[in-house]
Formats: sequence, C-alpha cells, structure tokens
Amino acid sequence: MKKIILFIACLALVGHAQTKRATELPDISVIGNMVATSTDSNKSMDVSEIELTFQHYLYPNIKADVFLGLHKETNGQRKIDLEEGYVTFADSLNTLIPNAGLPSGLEAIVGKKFIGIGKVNALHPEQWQFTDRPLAIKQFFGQDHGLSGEGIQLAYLLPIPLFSQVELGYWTPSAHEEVAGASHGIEYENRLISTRLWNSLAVSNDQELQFGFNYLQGNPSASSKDDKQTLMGTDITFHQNMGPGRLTLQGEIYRVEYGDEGESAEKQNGSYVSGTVDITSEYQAGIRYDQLGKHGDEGSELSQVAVMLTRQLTETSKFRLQYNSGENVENTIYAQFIFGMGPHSHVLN
Amino acid sequence: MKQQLVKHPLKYFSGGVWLVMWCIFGLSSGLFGTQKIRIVTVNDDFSSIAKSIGQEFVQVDSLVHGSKNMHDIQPKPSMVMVLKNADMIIRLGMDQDSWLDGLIQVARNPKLFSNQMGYLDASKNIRKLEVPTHDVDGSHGDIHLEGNPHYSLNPMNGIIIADNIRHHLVAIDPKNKAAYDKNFNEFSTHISQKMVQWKQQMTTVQQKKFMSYHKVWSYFYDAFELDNIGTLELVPGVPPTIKHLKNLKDNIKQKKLKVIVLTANYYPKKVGQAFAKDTHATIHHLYTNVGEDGIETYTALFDYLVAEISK
Repeated sequence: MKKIILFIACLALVGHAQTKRATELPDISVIGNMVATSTDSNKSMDVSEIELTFQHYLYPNIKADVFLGLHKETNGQRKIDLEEGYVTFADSLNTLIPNAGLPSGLEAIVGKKFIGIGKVNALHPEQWQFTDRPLAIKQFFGQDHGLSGEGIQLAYLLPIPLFSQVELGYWTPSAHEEVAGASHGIEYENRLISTRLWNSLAVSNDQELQFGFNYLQGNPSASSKDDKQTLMGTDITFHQNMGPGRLTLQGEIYRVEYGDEGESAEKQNGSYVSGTVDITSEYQAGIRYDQLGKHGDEGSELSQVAVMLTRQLTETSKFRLQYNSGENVENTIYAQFIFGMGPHSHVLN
Repeated sequence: MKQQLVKHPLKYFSGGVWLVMWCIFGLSSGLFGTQKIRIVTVNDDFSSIAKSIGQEFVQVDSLVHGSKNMHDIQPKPSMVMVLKNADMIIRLGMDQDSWLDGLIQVARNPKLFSNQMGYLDASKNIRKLEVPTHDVDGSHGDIHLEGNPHYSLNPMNGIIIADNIRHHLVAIDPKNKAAYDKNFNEFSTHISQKMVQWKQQMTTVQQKKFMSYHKVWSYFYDAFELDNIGTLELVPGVPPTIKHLKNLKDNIKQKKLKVIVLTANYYPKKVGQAFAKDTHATIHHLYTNVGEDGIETYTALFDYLVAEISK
C-alpha cells in the first residue's frame, strides 16, 4: 500500500513538473501501456505497465536516467521495481581527470540498464514497433522485458569516417520475471559480459543501413561449457525516408548455446525479420516473421507472422491492433493503447 | 574480340601518383592551410545564415535538407558522424528539434555540450509568439511550452539568428572578429533592405484574410502584418475535424471573406485544396525552408514566399 501511495505522490509531482519554469526539477514523465489480449484459451485486459521516469543532467556531460516500472505480476499483484537506473558519463576520462589532455569520447554508463545487445533488447515497450517482441528475443532475453543487469558499459566511437561504435559491458544479470504457462527462456547466471559493434552507413540522404555484431556470455568464469551461456548474433536495419515518414526493414539472427539446469549445453537458433511503413503521418503498418528453433533435440520449432496497424496520436501516445498467427503458437489478437505524459527521451538506439 | 582485361602497369602507377598527390594535398591543407570552423546546423535555413556570417572561415553542413517538419525528424547514426567532428552546432530549440539531444549525447563531442560556445540554440533572444500563459496538456494539442517554434519565418528574426551566430563565432575564433562583424552588418543591411521590398510586394494581399493548416505561419503573419483568422486544425497537431472545417467555412461564407490558405509542403495538400474550393479561397502549398526547388539562401526563401503569396 505504501508503494501505491508513493506512486500517487510521484504522479502529483508530474503535475507540478508540467508547469515548471526555470526550476531544478528533473524531467518527469509517465508512460502507460494497456494491452487487451485474446487467444482461444485466454482473454484479458491488463494495464501491463506504468513507467515513471526521471531524467536530469547532473553536470554538463553527466546525465541520470531513472525508470520505475509498476508491473502486473502473474498473481495479479502489482509491484514497483527499478526497470533501469543509470548515470551516463558522456566523456568519462575528462570528467574524472579534467584538463589532463586525455582522449575524449569514452562514454561510461553505470547502474542498472537493459543490456545493449541487438536492436530490440534495450528498448522500452513504448519504443517497440509491435505490441509483443519476437519469439527469439523473448526466449533469449526475457519474456516481458529486456535482459537487464547491474554493472558498467563502456562505449567508444571508432575514429573512422563510418559510424562504428564499440560497446563493452560487464553485468550482474537481473532475475527474469516468470510468465505463467510460458517458457522462461535462458537464465543467465553469475556475471555477464556483453559486446556489440554497432555500425551505420548513410547510403544516401534518405537511406541508412545499420548492422551490428553482438556477443554475450553468461557465467564467463565457469570452467565447464555446460555452465556458460553464450550468444552470438547479427542485426541489420535499413531505413528509407518516404514522404511524410519512412520504411524500416529490420532483422536479427542469434545462435545461443546453453544448458538447462544440470544438463549439457545445446544450441538453439532464432531470428526475425520485420518491415514497418508510415502510411501517413498518423498511421503505420507492419509485418514481422519470427522463427525459433529447437534447443538441441528438445521442444519443437516455432514460427509466427505478426501484422499490426498503429494510429499515432502524439509522439508517445498511440493505438495499435495486432494479429499473430503461426506454427506451434496460439493465434493472438492484441489491442494496445500506449499513452505518455511529460517530457521523455531515450538515447539514440 | 576478347577485351584486354590486364591493366597496363602505368595505369597502376597513375593511380598511385593520384593517391600520393591527394595525401600530400590533404596533409598540406591540414598543416599549412587555414583550418575552417566546422559548423553543423539542423536545417538549411541556419546553414545559409551561418555561411553569410562565417563565409570563407567556416565549413557548414546541415543535418536535414529541404523543407521538412522538424518535429518529425528521425535521428540517424550517420548524423552522429557529422556532429562528432564539428566545432559548433546551431539548433532550432524550443522543443522542436529535441531529437538532436540524443545525437549530441552519442557524438560525445565536448565542444557541443550545452554549456560551451560551440552550442547555439538559435531561438535565443527571439521574441517568441504564442507562449502559453496557462497550464497545457494534450487537450490543447501539441503546444510548445516555450511558444511557437517557427520563428525563422520572420525575416527580421534572421538578423537575430545571425547576431547569435556572430557572437558564438567571435568567441570561438576571436582573431577574425572584424570579418564576422562586417559580414553580419552586410547581412543585416541586406535583409532590412529586402524587407522594405517584400513588404511593398505584400501590399497586394494585405486586405485578405489568412488561414493555414497548422500554426506554421504565425511569425510570417507578424512580420508582414497579415490578418490571421485561424487554422484548419482545431488544435495543433490534431488533424482537422469535419465539424471544425464546417464552422470555418460557414464563418467565411457568412462574412464573405476573401481568404488565402497557406499550407506548408509537409502537411496534407488535399485537405487545404478541398477547403479552398468550398470557400472560393486561394491556396498556396509552400516550402517553408531553404533547400528546395532552387531556394538556396535565406533571402531566396522570402523572395519565393513573397512572390508566391502576393501573386
């Protein structure tokens, strides 16, 4: 109950923030995600998440971001937890030791964060192009939310004419939320090492091609391969500006090796490809194909197609309808409404 | 006859000579040439003004080209590369280009942090219009707390933007202060003289009533003392409703108003055309920024706008 009162008090603060003029208050925002789901076996209408965000510059190149999430758990209870809470030191070396002529541009992020692997994992639900996340992403990074951890991530833009950023993280992974009736995917243990090389090339003024190489290892200090979790993958994104909006084609493919409790490590593959297009400045349509292979000889191969239509009201408020249909998965209809209030921003992903 | 596929050795040599010459040229311009101040602007309006003030001492790149809704720009990683090597960023500000913040954060160029002279919010010192005097929320549409951000559509604001740029350039490159001051004075005089000419041209439509799709033209109306009677959108950022359009049409017909409808090229053309047809109004679907259809300078933008609207 205390948590709910605290939450309401925070909402009151948001109201105050709306009228702020030259104050030292942080940017405060609330994002709500409501999802109605219909399958043959289940029909539900949930306030899936209320996200409360505080964002503030602490120093000219140091920014703090705190994302609190009010989630609905499988037992119907609501729980507030720290979704992300981190400080970004944009120029860490020169902040630590100023005026020493150290190289600039080494970013350090310290705290709890969605791990920077691929294109989808680090996104918050209001940034997702579809109501749900691809099957492979759910299996490898967590069912309802991205894989997150507490630790540090370093990022550096390579000194070449092409956009090429290398990211290296060391984390203690956060426990996964288990979803009733669903496989809870990989449980990363002990510590996590993440690396990503994110590249981008402007093909023309209106076309951009991004490609990333990703590597993640859980429990790296374990002596046996069976006790480690190793993920490798690639992501490709193509953007084309078109009239009032743009066309986005995106895909990620992963190969993961891990062992279920007490068992030897087996491989599993998963991937998705998606296309979204802005039909007008208000409407967006999209289609996605997901594939998830067997883990060794266990389970069955899964695949599904998702189609969606989004009506954008504001930058952060939108309606969405989505239909998923596939092999060895339940056909599902989603109706979603996401709303946002207050100033809210995410770094370029 | 089969084509000769083997290159003559001299051709390799020729390529090598070019490469060496190119390297020497690159090195010598870096070592002995004058290092230009690299300015990045969010759009071509600011590019044009920055070139007028910096001239031979600056190299200017723009993140967005042409007449675009600056609120809807999707930031791209390639933009980060432009910012990474810049000495100065000129932004629109007023929450209209908030997408730029994420790019500056990823570029991690200390010269562009908001407390540095390499960071210029061009809206500084602009007399802002339509600043809300009450609390706002989504029921008022897409209202900007700092006011209407389309300030570059008043040519006299171009002088204020130019003065801001001069101030920052002098701070970054004080040895060329005299040149920047001279360029600013020339730019200011040129705009002031052109303003007299543009106002003269606009007298042909000064008795008309003006409407627009979105509140893009408020500063233009202000500059040329035009009578604005509303927008097709009931509230900013929300598409026009049939009821609102009917009320507007009824009012125009009842008062027998002679109306000119202005729509920016990035808003739907058909809605304005249908409205103009029903009300016997004149409609102009216009570019609002430098970089389109041969409009290469800030002055040329107003030459184009005034010529089109005063037809």
